[in-house]
Order: sequence, then C-alpha cells, then structure tokens
Amino acid sequence: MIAGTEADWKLLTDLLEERFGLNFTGPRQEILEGRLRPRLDALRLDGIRAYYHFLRAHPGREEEFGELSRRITNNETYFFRETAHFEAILEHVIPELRETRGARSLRILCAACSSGEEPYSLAIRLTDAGLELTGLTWQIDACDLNPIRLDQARKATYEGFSFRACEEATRTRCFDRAADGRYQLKERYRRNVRFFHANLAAPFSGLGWPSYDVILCRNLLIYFGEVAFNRLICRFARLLSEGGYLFLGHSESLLDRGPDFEAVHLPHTMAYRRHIETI
Amino acid sequence: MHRSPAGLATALASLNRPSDRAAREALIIEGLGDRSPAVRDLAIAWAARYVEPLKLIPLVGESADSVLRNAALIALERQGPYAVNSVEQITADPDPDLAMFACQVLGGIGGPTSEAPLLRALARPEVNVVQAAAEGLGRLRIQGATPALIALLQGEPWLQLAAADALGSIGDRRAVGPLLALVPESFVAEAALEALIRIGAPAALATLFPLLIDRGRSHLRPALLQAVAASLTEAGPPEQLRAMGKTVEQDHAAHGLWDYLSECLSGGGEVPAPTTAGDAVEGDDRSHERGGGPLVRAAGTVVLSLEVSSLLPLVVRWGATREGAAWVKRLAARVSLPTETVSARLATHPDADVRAGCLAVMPPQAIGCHRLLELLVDSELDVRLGAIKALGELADGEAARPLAEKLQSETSSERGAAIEALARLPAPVVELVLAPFLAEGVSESLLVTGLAVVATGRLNLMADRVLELAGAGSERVRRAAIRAVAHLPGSRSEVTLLRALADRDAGLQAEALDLLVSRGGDRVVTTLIALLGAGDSLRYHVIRALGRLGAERAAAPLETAFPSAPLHEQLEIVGSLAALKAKRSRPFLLQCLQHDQVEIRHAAASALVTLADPEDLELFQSLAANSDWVLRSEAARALGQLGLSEGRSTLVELVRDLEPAVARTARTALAAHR
Repeated sequence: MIAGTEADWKLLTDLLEERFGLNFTGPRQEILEGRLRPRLDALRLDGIRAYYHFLRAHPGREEEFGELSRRITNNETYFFRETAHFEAILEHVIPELRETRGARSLRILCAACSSGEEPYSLAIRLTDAGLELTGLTWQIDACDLNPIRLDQARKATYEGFSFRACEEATRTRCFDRAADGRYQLKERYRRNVRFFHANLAAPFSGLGWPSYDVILCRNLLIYFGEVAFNRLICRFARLLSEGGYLFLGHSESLLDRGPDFEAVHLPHTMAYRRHIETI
Repeated sequence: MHRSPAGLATALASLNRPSDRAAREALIIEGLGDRSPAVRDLAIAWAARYVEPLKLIPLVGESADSVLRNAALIALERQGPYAVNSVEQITADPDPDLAMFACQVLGGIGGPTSEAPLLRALARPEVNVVQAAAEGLGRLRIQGATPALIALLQGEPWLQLAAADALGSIGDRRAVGPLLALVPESFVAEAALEALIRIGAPAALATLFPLLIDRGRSHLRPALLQAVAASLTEAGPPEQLRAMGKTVEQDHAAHGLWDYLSECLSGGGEVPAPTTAGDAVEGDDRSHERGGGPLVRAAGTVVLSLEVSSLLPLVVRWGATREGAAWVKRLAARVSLPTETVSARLATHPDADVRAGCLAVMPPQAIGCHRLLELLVDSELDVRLGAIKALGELADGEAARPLAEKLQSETSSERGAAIEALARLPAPVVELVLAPFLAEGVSESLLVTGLAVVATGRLNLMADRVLELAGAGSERVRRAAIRAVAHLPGSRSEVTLLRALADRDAGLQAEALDLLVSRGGDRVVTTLIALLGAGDSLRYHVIRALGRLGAERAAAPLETAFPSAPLHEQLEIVGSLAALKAKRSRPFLLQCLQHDQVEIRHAAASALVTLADPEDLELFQSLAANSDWVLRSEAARALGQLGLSEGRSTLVELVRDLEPAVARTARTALAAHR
C-alpha cells in the first residue's frame, strides 16, 4: 500500500482529473494505486504526497505526466465492439446526412480510439458498404491521449485478443497475415483513417476546430469526473456540425446534461443529435 | 426546480450573513430533495455542516419523499458524533418510523453511549424498530447486548435473523449454544451458521460435524462446512479430530462428505468474487479462483485439521499459486502435519501442481536436500523454481554447485531464483562456486550475475575484486558492483560509493545515494551536507537522502539552502525536515505556513503534524478554521495524533466539514480519540 493521507489522495486525484478528466475517487483509487506503484518506485518516491509534489513542481513533470497518461488510460478495445452503432451510422445517420451534406466528404471523429480497432472497424464497414461507389467520400479522424497506443494504431497490426468479436471470414478478408503471426490491416481500409494525439480534458486539447458529422466517444465518459464530463460534452457540441450525431457507450448517458443534444432512439441503439437551434 | 451543483454552491455561498440562516437552511433542504445526484451530494455536505440534527431528523421521517429521507439520513451520518446525542433521543420517539431510522443511523455513527437507547428500543413493541435496534447493536459490536439479542432468537423470524446477524458481528461466545439450537431445523438455520462462522467457537464442533456428515443436510453444507472450519481455528483434542478424519475417509460414497470436500477443493460450488470495472481492464479477475475462495479454504482447513490424507494433494496443489500458498502454508504450519512422510509423497506426486504446491508450503527440511536436488531437473518450470527456492531456504552447502549451474539457466526466472537461493548459502561455499563468475576476462553477464549474488546475500567475499569492478567501463557492471560494495565493511567501500555519486550515469548516482543512505553513518551525513552546495540534479536526491538518514544536524543546512532552492527542492527540504523531526525547525516551518506558494504551505503543515506536541493545540485549532481544506485536514490529523480532550470539540466540528476528505480524516482522528 502506498503511503498517503486522505488529503494526499484528494490532491493527486484532483490534479489528475484537472489534467486528464479521469476520475479516480472511491473504488477507482485502488486501481490508480496499482498503476502508480511502479512510477513511485522508478522515481524513488515514498508516498503519494511526494509524487504529487513531483507532478506539481519538478522540472521533469511534463515527461512524468506523459508516462502517467500511458499508465492510467483504459486501453480496452477490440474490433467490432458494440456494432449496433456502426449499423446505425450506415442505415440511419448517413442517409439522413446525405440529404443535407451535399457533395462534401462525411467527417467522423473517433475520440479515445486507443490502438485503432474502433476507427478501423468503422472504416471496414464503410468501405464494404461501397459508399464511394455512390459518390459519398468519407474521412475518419481518430485521437487518443496515449502516444504508444497511437503508434500501434498507425501500424495497424493486431493479435488474437483484438479479434474476439470479429468473424473469421472478416479477418481473412481484411487482414494480411504477417511473418510474426500477427495480422496487418489491408491498405484500402487504412487510407481514410488519420490519427492524432489529443488530451480531451485539456483546454487546448489538440482537437482543433473542424466540423464533424459524427463523433464516437464510447466508454470514456464513465471514467470522467463531473466537470471534465460537462466540458467535453460542450466541446463535442462545438465540434459537431448542425444535426450531427454523437454516439456514446451503452452505459453512458447525457440525461440531464444540458441543452445541446437531443436523444434519438434508433432501432437497436440510441444516439444524441446536436440541436440545430443552438448553432 | 432543477439546479446545477455550481448554481446551488453559488447561491449557498451568497447566503453567509447570520440573518440568512433560515433562507440557507431552506435552500439546503430543497437541495436534499433534488433529482440530480450531484446537487443532492452538495446539499448533503452543506446539511451536514450547517443544519442542526434536530432539523434533519423530521426529514428522516418523511415517508412521502424517499429521496429527501435518504439524503437527510446520509447528512445525519455525515455529522457523526455531532448528531449522536440528538439521534439517541429520537430512538424513544413515539413515531416508530423516526425511531427506526434513528436506530439505523446510530448503527453507523453511535458509540458507547448508544448502548442504553438501543437496548431500550430493542424492548419496544414495533418489529421494525426492534429489528433496526438489533442491527445497530450488531454494527456497534456492543457486547452488553448479547443476552437481549439471545432472547430475541426466540422471537419472530425477522427478529431472529437480525439477532443472529448481530450476534455474529459481536462475536460473543455466550451466543454459541443458543445459535446451535437453531441448526439445522429452524427457518434461520443458515443465518445462525453464518453467525457461528464469524464467532468461530471450538465448542460448536461436536454438534456441527455430524450435521456436515449427514447427507440429508446437503442444502446447508456450504454454511456447515465453513462453520466447522471456523470451529477448527483452535486445535481440538487430537483423538476427537483423528476419529472425525477417519469418518471422512470412510464416507467415500456418492454425496458423502469425502466427495463434497473433493468437489470444493477442485473449486466447485465457489461463488466468484465480484470484480470492478477496472479489474477487468488491467487487473486479473481470476485471482479469486486461483487463490481459492471461502469454501476451498474451509475444505482445506477440515482436511488438514482432521488429517484426511487421501485429500491432502487437493489442498496442497492450491499452494502452487501465489494467492493459495499463503493460506495453505499458514494452515499447514498450524496443524503440524506429519511432514516427512507426507512431503515425500507429495513432492513426487504425478500432478505437477501438487509437486509445486508441496515445495511452496512444506518446510524444505521435511522434503530433504537430496529430493530437492532431484527436482531441479523436473519437467515443469514451476517445480524447478520451487526446488531452487526451497534449497535456498535449506541453506545446505551441498546445493551450491547445482545452484551455480542454474545461474546460467536459459530461463530468466530460474536464474533469478538461483541468485536468491545461492545468496542464502554459507559464504565459504558460495565463494568457491562464484569465483569463475567474477574472474578476469569473463563476459559482462557472468560478472553481473556473480555480483548480484554477492549483493543479494550481503556477502563479504572477494572484496578487492568487487571494489575493482565498481570502476568498470560497463554501466551494468558498475551498477551491480556498487550494489555489492554497499554491504562491504570498511572505509574503502564507503569511498567507492561516494565516488559513484559523481558517476557519469545519473541513474547510477541516485542509486549510489540510496545505498549510502541505507549504510548510514556520520561521514555520509557530512558528505551529503557538503553536496547541498552543488547545483546539479543530484541535489534533489541529496535533500531527500538527508531526511531519510534522520541526522538532526542536517536541519540547519537544509533550512539555509531553502531560500535559493527551486520549488521542487524547497518541497523536498520541508519534507526532509518533517522526516528529521527536529524541534529546532518548528519556527522555520511556521514561517513556511505563510509562504506564497500553496504547496509549501501544505508541506509545512504536514511537517508540523509530525512535530506536534500538546503545546501546539492552539496552532492546530487555528488551522482547523483555515479556508484551505488541506490545512484543515492536517489539523484534523494532528488533533487525532495528540488525543487531547481539549481538541475533541474541534474534531467534532471538522467531522461536518464541507470537504469530505477533511470530514473523513476528522472521523478517523476521533475514532483514535476513543
């Protein structure tokens, strides 16, 4: 057990929430403790307060925040997770947006994409649907806080656990078997996906000011504290074009979260559409 | 009205004049019933701080609005000792709902004074009040309530359940007989067994064991098994236990006890422990299964205590996992098995998990050096690792050469285990087998391995060669050498470590500093004080090292270095002064409380807590009123540490602090007061 008082833990978890938006209070403190221990050992620090001081004042604090971000982010992801969202995008969102978008490309943001399984799953579905043959081009931007995961995403090479919800036929069709036994996603599914680093909780998050038609941010907000949650939802509202859609994880909700979005009940899932009158 | 937490906070903060009190209370109470959990949480914190218990209690009786009622209950619990007196009075209220909720709240916040009101509530005619009183007495573990709770065991079923549960929590063995009387026929048999599990009374064994054998009672078996195991936590008469063991061995038929124990030890019937979302991500949610749950442990206790030798392998194989080894080893030591015969059989068992488990939990003397050496070439890695570790524990010189061969094993885990094991052997035999590893011209990895053995064993051997290697060209060798040097006596080794403070590798410098600190000594303190004048990155580590060395004479130079140091070093200086516990630093730390950097103020308050003595009462009482919650939290810690009755009222105030971290700290401090 790492030495620390109630106050020490609160100072540190407040700092992490301020920096990354992630909430580590209550039972999640134990998870944080497990992930911090190797950092305290490496820095030869003897308690939470010393680590907090390091993050506050040490000249090497920015590197340490980077190291920390790699440890405390949740990297759980796999191909074709919660596919109802992808089907909803194809069957309901795209037909609806097609009427209002005109000729411009459809723009999609996958926030907190980890090692890329989510944006690539969507890219596979969009490519297989033959949208480009019907004149609709599209672009997926994908971002994450963890640079190591982004590197993995750019390499697009995966192992068994990433395919736990992927049919064998899809894997064979979309991936090449590499010499080391892993699977490399074929180029045609990669070319419309771009990756970039972004801290969704930071004021200058790296998101820029594009206008997206669809944002997927799934299974991230459950780890966010109240303030960071609301701030990110406001940011998504600004990033979405009028009538654009926001998809959250199945256990996440915008109920009672302000006026920017309306809930849309689709056949097998739900999404949030940005109110047109708020623009 | 729907309101945001920030909106409510602003509105409440603006109502800060004495004349605003009624309006503020109304706003807080409105917030307690808000549909937004975030708003309610804020209102609860404010209610705990600013609404008197007597105003909250009627809200608890608000039957029409369960949201408001629950929020008021939480606020009362948050008030803790501040509310106890008022809540105790309400247990006698004619309104049974109010009395019931008061009993519930008392279970969470009450203390010794709550015994009498809860016992009076236990005598009331309303079943729900009596049930709540019984639960409250159980949660507070009030021994004096045992006779009254035993009497309730004759009452109606719901009260029997509450009483059995409370008696289990209290753990008074006077309850064993009355609880046993409820097993196996009554409606509350299972609850009574649960209570007996927590009480753990050897006297229950004679009654419970025949019931465990009885196949007709199979629905109660999980609870019976655990209750029998709990009653075996103290050794019973050996003849009685052996007779029971024989009975188990003979009860081998389908659905017999032997069968059931075997099933439990194979992990059958165990309920998996709940896992958190985070566990599923990076933790390992199989650790519960690997370590064995309560049924596995209970079955293991019964098998080992009753010496059911045919089932022994199934118990010992749990020792093959880290989680299981701890409890099996403890258990095996307690029941004093006939180890040599048993160990010989288990160490050569066809199941590799049993062999590995045996090596992990049985004393190596019982297995013997010869058999352990044979197991060094077992086909299973876990068995080989267990044998290496056991040979280290045995510390028999005969094992030196085979273990030295393992230093060059292909698997890193075997190499690591061999280093640890060899380091425990007598130095002269280690020196013989290690000489080739530290010879001139050998590879870097051999040198590092040899030095690791010397360092791990804190051995004083081949000192000249070890000191020479501290100046090697390779950073890996130098690092391994200074670790070995750290345990060599004499000034040459100290000088070598001091030289390493100027090593070209910054990581090695920091490690040398750590090693010097672990050696201690006055010369080290002098050197480190001199290094405070150096302006490089090592100074940060030097400051902390001075704190760890605990040399009070370092306090003055640290204080002198403070003004010109950058913030991160200033924080370390204050932290080191706290570690030194030098009274002379008190004025300096008091000055730091006025520093313009908030982190310095926090660190100074924390350091003052470590120096706190009764004369500081006033200081901490004033910090308890500070607007900075961190300082209030430190005040709570200090007042708890001092344990003065004059500080109690301040702690009672802090228990109601708006900042939950302060409130929790104060509550812990108050508990220490008792």
